[in-house]
This record gives sequence, C-alpha cells and structure tokens, in this order.
Amino acid sequence: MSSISSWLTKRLPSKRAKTIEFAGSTTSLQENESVLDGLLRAGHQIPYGCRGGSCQSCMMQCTQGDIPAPAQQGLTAAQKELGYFLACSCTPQSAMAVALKPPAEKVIAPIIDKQQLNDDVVQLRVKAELAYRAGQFVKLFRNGVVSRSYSLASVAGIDDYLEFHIKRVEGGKFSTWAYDELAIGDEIALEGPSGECFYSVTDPQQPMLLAGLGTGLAPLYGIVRDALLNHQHQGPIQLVIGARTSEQLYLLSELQALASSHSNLTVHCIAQHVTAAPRPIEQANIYEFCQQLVPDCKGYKVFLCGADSFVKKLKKQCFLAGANMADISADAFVANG
Amino acid sequence: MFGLFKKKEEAAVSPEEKAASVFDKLGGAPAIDAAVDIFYRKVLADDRISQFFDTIDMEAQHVKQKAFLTMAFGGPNNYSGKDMRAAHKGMNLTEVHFNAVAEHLVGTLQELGVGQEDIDSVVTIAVSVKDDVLNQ
Ligand SMILES: Cc1cc2nc3c(=O)[nH]c(=O)nc-3n(C[C@H](O)[C@H](O)[C@H](O)COP(=O)(O)OP(=O)(O)OC[C@H]3O[C@@H](n4cnc5c(N)ncnc54)[C@H](O)[C@@H]3O)c2cc1C
Ligand code: HEM
Ligand code: FES
Repeated sequence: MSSISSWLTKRLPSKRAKTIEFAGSTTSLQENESVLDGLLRAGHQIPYGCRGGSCQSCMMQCTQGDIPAPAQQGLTAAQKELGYFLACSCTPQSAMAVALKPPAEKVIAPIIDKQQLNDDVVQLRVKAELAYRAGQFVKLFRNGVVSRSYSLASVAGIDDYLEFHIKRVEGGKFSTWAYDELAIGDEIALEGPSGECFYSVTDPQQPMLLAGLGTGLAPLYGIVRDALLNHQHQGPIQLVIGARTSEQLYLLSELQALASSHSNLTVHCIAQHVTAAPRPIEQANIYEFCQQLVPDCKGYKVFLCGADSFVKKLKKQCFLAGANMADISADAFVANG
Repeated sequence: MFGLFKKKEEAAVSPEEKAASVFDKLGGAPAIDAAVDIFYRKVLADDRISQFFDTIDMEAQHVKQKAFLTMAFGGPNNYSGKDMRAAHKGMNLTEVHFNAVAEHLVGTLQELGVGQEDIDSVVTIAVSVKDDVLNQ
C-alpha cells in the first residue's frame, strides 16, 4: 500500500492517543494516567481497592485496542484471553474501549437433538450461532423466567451445534422440565457465554489433569477435544471421570475412541459402587485416585468440574500437591447458579 | 468485597518506604505471583491458622494473599491502619496467629533466596501493622 496510508495508520492512533471508551462516553487520559484514574476523574463508578495491581477489584474487559502487559500481570491465561485487565495498572499507549462486564449475548434457538445419556442425564443439542470456548457455560431459560447455568460440551469449529448434558434433579425447576418436557423443535433462550474454565494455549507440552464428577464431564468433554483436536496438545492428558455408581458414567465409548486415536490421552472411569462388570470402570474414591495418579501436580494444568464440594476439595488437594493457582481452572456447579 | 468504592487515602509513612526496595528488588508484581503460591500453600498446611484461610473461595483468598504480600513487601497499596483493622476484625486473632503468619512470610522469602537484610525489613513492616491486625 501507499506510504501515505501506512504513515497515516502509524500516525492516527498516537494522535488520538489514550482515549478510553466506556459506557458510551469517551475519556482522554492524561500523561501517565491509568484507565482507572481517568475513568474515576470523569465521574464513572468503577470498583477498586489497592490501586497497585494486586487485589483485582478493578478488573475490566477490553473490547478494542491493545492491553499493555503490566495490566495483565497476575491474571490467568483464560482471563488474558478474554481481554480482562486491571484498570489501575493500565496506562495504555493508544486508544482502548473497555467494559465492566462482558456483554452477555442472548439468543433464541431450536433444539435439534435430544438423547438419553443414562437414566438421569439427557443430552440436548441446540442450533445456535454463538462465539464461545469449549468448557464455558451459558444460561438456559425456561419460559424467560427460570434460568440455570449449563456447561457447553460442544467444541466451536468442530461441532455445528451447542451441546449440553443436563442431569435431572428431583423437584428441580429447570432440569425436570428439560428432561421431561422439552422436545426436538422447541425453541429455547440462552444467554452467554461466561466462565474462565477452558483450554488456553500456553504450553502444548504441559501435562494436564482433568477431573469431573457426574455431568462435570460436560465441560471436560469439550475442553479435552478442544485441546486435542483444535490445538494439537502434545503433553500427557489424564482424564478422570467419576460417579456414585457405574451406571451413572456416560459417553464411555466416545471417550475410549478418543483415547485410542490420541496416545497422549488416558481416560480413567471410576465409581464408588461398581455394578456393571465388563466396562473399564474402577471402584475407587476419586480424591485418593487423583492423589495416586498424580502425586506431584507441579507444572500441571488442572481442570475440575462438577458439584461444588467436589471441586473445592480437589482444588485444594491439587494446590497443596504443587499445582500453581493460576494453572487450576474450575467450574463448580453451584445450585441455582 | 472489602475495599470497593473506597476513597483514595494518603499512603502511610515510613516502614513501607524503607522496604519499598524489597518489592522492587524481588522484581515487583511478578515476584508476588511467585511468592503467593508458596506462601498460601504454607498457610493452608498450618493447623494453627489454616481455618482462617480455608474458606469458601480459594481464588478470592489467593488474591487477598497477594494484597497481603504486596503490602508486606512494601509494594504499592492504599491500605490504612483502619483498613487493616476492618479486614481482620471478628477473627479474634492472637499473637500465636500473628507469629505463624510471620513465620511463613519469612519461610517464603527464604525459599525465594531473599537476603536476611531484606527479610528483616519485611518483618519490620509486618510488625508495624501488628496492633491493627490483632485489633488491639
Ligand atoms: C457454572 C455452572 C455450570 C453448570 N453446568 C451444569 C451442567 O453442565 N449439567 C448439569 O446438569 N448441571 C449444571 N449446573 C447446575 C445447574 O445450573 C442447576 O443448578 C441444576 O440443573 C439444578 O437446577 P434445577 O432448576 O433443576 O433445580 P432447582 O429448582 O434449582 O433446585 C431444586 C432443588 O434441588 C437442589 N439441587 C440443585 N442442584 C442439585 C444437584 N446437582 N444435585 C442434587 N440436588 C440439587 C437444590 O438445592 C434445590 O433444593 C451448572 C451450574 C453452574 C453454576
Ligand atoms: C502480618 C501482618 C498482616 C498483614 C500486613 C495483613 C494484610 C492483609 C491484607 C492487605 C488483606 C486484604 C484485605 C482486603 O483487601 O480485603 C488481608 C486479609 C486477610 N488476612 Fe491479613 N494481614 C496480616 C496478618 C494476618 C494474620 C495473622 C491472619 C490470621 C492468621 C490474617 C488473616 C487474614 C484473612 C483471613 C484475610 C481475608 C479476609 C477476607 O476474606 O475478607 N492476616 N490481610
Ligand atoms: S485496584 Fe487493586 S488491582 Fe486494581
């Protein structure tokens, strides 16, 4: 291209340098002023605490422009990938557009498939255009009133639908409706995605431990395929899926097929009570099992999904076993979340 | 969360300035990231004090420990004595708890290969907020 236009593109950003777009208005930063200070000076309400880059109260999301490296110091790889930054530590060299919360997208989409995965869990597939990372979750709505979070088991770029695994909770407002009544062809409203539990490319050789209980498999099924199929992860991957009884484990043949075609993936299926004999299911306590499988978590990337108490307990166990906090991603399925 | 929408207060005076160099010498914010995992692991494994830190949300606690270390290392922060009182109020902290934390602070610094002189100035900062932390 002509030298004039390259001159212009080099010139323009610095000429309009350091303007911050936020909540529909534009603020010009003064010399060496942080995004936080500039926005506060302009009268915006931005939460903050230490102003020193350590408390993370002032975390915002960049929707346009470049984030200077110091503004992402201490954030997880997932947070960086989502464009999160600390406003107090951000003195940009060029214009940025920023937001307090990721703007949620709401779409209405048809159910295109519904399958029973086991006695309690139903698989729903929804045809929708949504930019997401495998392992994130969306809010699903029942008649626009009741909403619950469900993890994405599908992988963008591989599956042309969104997939959910929903466990029927007796007396549950959403899950019983989804399980008993929702049918192929029905439309459902969904909002999202959110969540920071997804594969981010940092080191393709890093060993990984993924552990899930019950429908905690849903996000892990997305994450493990994203790592292997979209990002050609090379390091060893241990996928541990657990349930109370062996009948509650599902997707076993799909997982075995995935493991046969990827020598770095090992799938471990464990249950507290094993009844169905011929399957490759071990009777074990999932905490002890993980402890024995990976006694030293140092250097591991860890993904933990499922019931709240399970996630908390195993997170602590993995941290004490040497995993860095920033390398542990977790989705706790808190009730009514 | 504690500290939201807080007015900016004038930074307190001397011990911080004295050890400001420790924060910088260690390498600033990235060093805190390295230190906080070591420190938090020690604290969680210590029965004398783990109950205070073994709470609902490990991530949030981890971030608070970062704030703690930044302050102890003399890094940039805006905590006042009043803030420190508020942050530790209702925990009924005693000398035993304080000493345990100080011990792990020193242990963490030693593990990172920090020299004795710098460790001493970090301890000076910790001691300077002791009364506030213990709400005495
Ligand atoms: C980030 C996130 C991701 C999630 N991903 C999934 C997913 O992929 N698949 C999935 O099935 N669920 C997932 N959940 C849980 C889901 O959001 C609902 O909480 C769950 O389906 C129950 O909703 P409900 O409306 O049927 O029950 P509610 O009407 O909310 O609750 C009915 C009763 O059941 C109790 N209860 C709620 N959940 C459970 C449970 N799991 N076991 C036993 N009792 C329960 C409640 O405390 C209440 O007493 C996720 C939650 C979060 C926060
Ligand atoms: C050595 C001096 C100490 C300093 C400089 C210090 C500093 C801090 C700071 C800066 C915070 C974060 C406040 C916030 O922004 O919310 C904090 C929180 C906390 N501190 Fe300390 N602290 C000290 C000693 C202790 C001791 C002895 C204990 C208990 C054994 C303790 C337990 C806690 C806990 C549990 C929190 C989190 C509170 C919450 O969850 O809101 N601290 N401390
Ligand atoms: S205000 Fe504490 S990290 Fe920005």
